Parts: sequence; C-alpha cells; structure tokens
Amino acid sequence: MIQLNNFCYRYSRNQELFRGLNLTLQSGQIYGLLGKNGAGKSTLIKNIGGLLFPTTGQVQVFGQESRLRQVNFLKDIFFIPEECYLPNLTVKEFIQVYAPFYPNFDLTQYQSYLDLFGIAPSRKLRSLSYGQKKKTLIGFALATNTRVLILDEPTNGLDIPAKGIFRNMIKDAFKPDRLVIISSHQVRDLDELISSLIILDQGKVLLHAAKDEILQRLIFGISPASLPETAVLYQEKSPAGWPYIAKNTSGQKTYLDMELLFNALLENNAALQPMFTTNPKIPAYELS
Amino acid sequence: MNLVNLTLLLKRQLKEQSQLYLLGSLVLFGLLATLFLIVHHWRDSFGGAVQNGVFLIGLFGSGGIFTATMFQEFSESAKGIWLLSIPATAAEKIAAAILLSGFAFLVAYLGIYYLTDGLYTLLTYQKYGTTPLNLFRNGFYWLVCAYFLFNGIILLGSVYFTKLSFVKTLLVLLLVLVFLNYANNFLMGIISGIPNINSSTPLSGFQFEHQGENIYVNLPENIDSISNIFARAVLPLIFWSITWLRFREKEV
Repeated sequence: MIQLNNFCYRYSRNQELFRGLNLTLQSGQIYGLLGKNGAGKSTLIKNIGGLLFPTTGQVQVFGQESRLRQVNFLKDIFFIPEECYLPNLTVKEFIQVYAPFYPNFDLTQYQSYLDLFGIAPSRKLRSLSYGQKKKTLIGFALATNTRVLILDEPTNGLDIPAKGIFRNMIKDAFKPDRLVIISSHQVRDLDELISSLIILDQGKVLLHAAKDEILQRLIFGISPASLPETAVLYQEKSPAGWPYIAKNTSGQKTYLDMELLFNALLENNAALQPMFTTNPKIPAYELS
Repeated sequence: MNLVNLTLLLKRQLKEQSQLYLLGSLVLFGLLATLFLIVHHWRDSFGGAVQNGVFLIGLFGSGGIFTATMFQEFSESAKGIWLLSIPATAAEKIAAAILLSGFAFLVAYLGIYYLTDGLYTLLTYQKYGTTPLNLFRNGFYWLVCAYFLFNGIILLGSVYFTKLSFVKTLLVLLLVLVFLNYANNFLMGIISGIPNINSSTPLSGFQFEHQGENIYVNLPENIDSISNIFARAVLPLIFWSITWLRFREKEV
C-alpha cells in the first residue's frame, strides 16, 4: 500500500505544486496516472520512488518512508523513468550484475521475455533499439517481482505492436499483491490495462476512482448530433460525432472513454467530481 | 554495512567500466611515459626530483578524473535514478566508491607508475645513475597520502554538482586554496607579529624574509606529525562523511 499524508511539494519557495495531498493506493491495482504535461505526474511518482523528497508531509510505501531509501524499500520498488537507462553490458552480464540485488528475481520469467522479444543474452544492451531497450528493462522490472512497479510514460517511443506486447506483459505478470502505477498522457495506451484512474491537474487530484466505480456512475456514448446540455454531463465534437458522458441511471455498462473523461474533468470538473467519493471502492483486479 | 551488497556494487562498477578502466590504464601509462620523456629530453630545465613531480602530476590528475567518474550517473536524470534505485544503502554506495577510487586506484596507479618509472630508470641509469622513486625518502609518502583528502573533495563535488562536477570542484578547490593562502598569511602575521610573510601552508608552517634571507618556520616535529595525520586521515574521513550525508539527500 502507498500512502501520502498531507503531502506538499514545492519546486522553490514561490512555486508550489502539491499542497496537503492525501492519497492511498492499494495493492492488487494497476493505476493509470493521467494528467497534462506539467500536471505533477512525474513529481508525484518520483516522490513515491524516493527520488524526490516532499517539502512537508509523508510518503510511505508498505509502511516505509520513501525518502529514506532503505534497502528493503529499494528491493520492493522498481521505477522506470521515461528516458530509460541501461548500462554498458550484455544482457547476460546485466542479469549477473543486477539480479542478485533483488531477492525475488525470477530468471525463467526474464528468459521468457527475452525469448518473446527475440533478444539473445549475448547482445549488448546499448546496441538494442530504443523500443527493445525499453521492453528489456520492463521485462527485468517485472522479473524482479517487486511489489511496486512505477512506469513513467512507458509507451513513449514504442511502436504499435510493442505497445500491445507491453500491455500483455504487465497483465500477465500482475499479481494481487502487486501495485503498478503507470503515468502517461497517452490515455488510449492504457485502455484495458488499468483498473483504477488517478487524474491530476496542477497538483490536484481531480479524480481517484476504480474503473468499475466510474462505469457504475457514468455512461459513455456517442451521438450523431449534439445533445441538450441537461441530458449530458459533458460532450465534445469529434470527427465521428458527439461523444458524451452522462449519469448512469439505467445500470448499463459502457466502454470507458478515458480521453473523454479526462477532457471532461479538465473542462467541467464541478459537474463530475462530486459524483466520486474520496475513498474509492477498490474491486479485485480481474486477470483476463 | 552489508558486505554482500558492497561486493555486488564493486562487481557492478568493475563489470560496467572494465573497458574504460583498461583503456584508461593504457592512456595513463602513455601519459606517464610521455612525461618522463619530456623531463628527460629537457632535463636541464627540470632539475631536482623529477620522478616525484611526475608521480604527483599523474596521481592527482588521473586520480581526480577517475574519482569524478564514480558518481557520473548524476549528470543525467535517468542514470541518476538508476544509481539511486539500486537496492543498497547510501553508505554502501559511498564505501564502494571510496574503495575503488581511493584505495584500489592508488594500488593500480603505483603499479602503472613503477612500470614507467622502471623503464625510465632502465634507460637512464647508466648515464645518470637514476634509481626508482622511493616513496619513503624525505617523507614523500605524506604527499601521496594527501591523495585521500583530494579524493574526498572530488567525491563530494561529484555528488554536489550535477553537470561538469570535476571542473566545478577543481574551480572551487582553487578558490578555497587561494583564500586559505591569504587568510593563513594574514593569520600568521597576526599571531607571530611578522609583517612580511611571503608564503604559508595551513597546518604546517610559513616563510618570511629577514635581512635578505628566507626564513622557514615549521611546526615542531611531533605536532607536525599530528597535523599531517589530521590532514591525510581525519579530513578525508570528514569529506567522505559529508559525501555520504549529501548522497542520502540527493534528489533527481
């Protein structure tokens, strides 16, 4: 479990990003952390990973304070930044050097990823393409079996097939005791993968809810023409028509259009936000 | 301090940088050989203990550069994240860096230096009676031990500064040394009442001119030894400790 208590973060004396944020993230969830550029996504996940320190307040991961970067904390968390770095080693050497740091590292699991990507253990990591590097690192992160996995913009730079492979890897390696945070501004890449959504804007949490909860309360549809304002909570024009969000009064389950929800929250926050509790009901994540 | 983690960190550094270290050793050998060639070719201009000079230039030059690479990861965000995320304590990461850049480097340097010095001696012994450098002659080893202080300062700089840490640290060091020189001269002048102090070395002694003669004032031998130990052992420990504190607070 990750807990942020009264979390404040300032870049400088005059530049405040987060003030008094309280947030609880539960195991067994894949969180999609969405927000525009500069919304505070990277700052938030870096604070969780112990790479930045809160100005005031606390960030705890499974009861351990992130900023202390204790060994047990570091053995239980893997952070993949947007621009990933891999050392000047072969894949085999990389495993020999880094796997012993992680007590739950599963070599068979990692080998299966390498087979999937078609990367030979003798290959130099630096000779891999950007996408291959990223996949290799994500595979390593999953094989370490840390309880927390944080990915910052993981799909940036990946081609379409690679994005599919990435989603499958995360889903296949997911376990109920794991907590995955995927920060992205490419909301469509996270479709089908995430189980909970956190939407940030200017250091504020606009939405923190499980996908199921969102779909219980809202319906997403598309209309050929603009609907009356009283009938919808939000609608926008698109090439295919008028996608809209309305209150779910019939109990029907629709497809969650995260991009639409994201835009709706940024534009019409007052209408949507009161519909969600601050402590969302967390469903068990279903492996498909 | 977990010895397993420390060993893993040393293994990591050596594996990742093995090519660079091998090439660096060859370059160092070449540079030392070139320096010996220069001092031999222009031997009339380079009087005195040229081997000591070459030894110190090589030690502090290459040692400084080598030490600065210990935490070069902090120059890039992704690399810095990688280093900080390795499951080991800050103390273990600092200890690995000190063991490699302080102690292992010194041993490797001595090997490379004596290889070139041996060649230099071999070529010049018959004509000039050159003998290999004796580290224990005239207390030269004290200067060699000052490398640990230099190592502590460069390590601190590499954690403190993000970009161009080696250059910035050298600049700060230079400014501090200039300041210390003037401050020390001023302080010695006040304490001793001698107005014309020409130069001084903090924690060691000073020199002034009296009736056209240079007078050197040094600390008594036993106090000088304590001062030497303080500068070569206690001060490095202080700098290494500050580096550790800074590393713990490092953000990327």
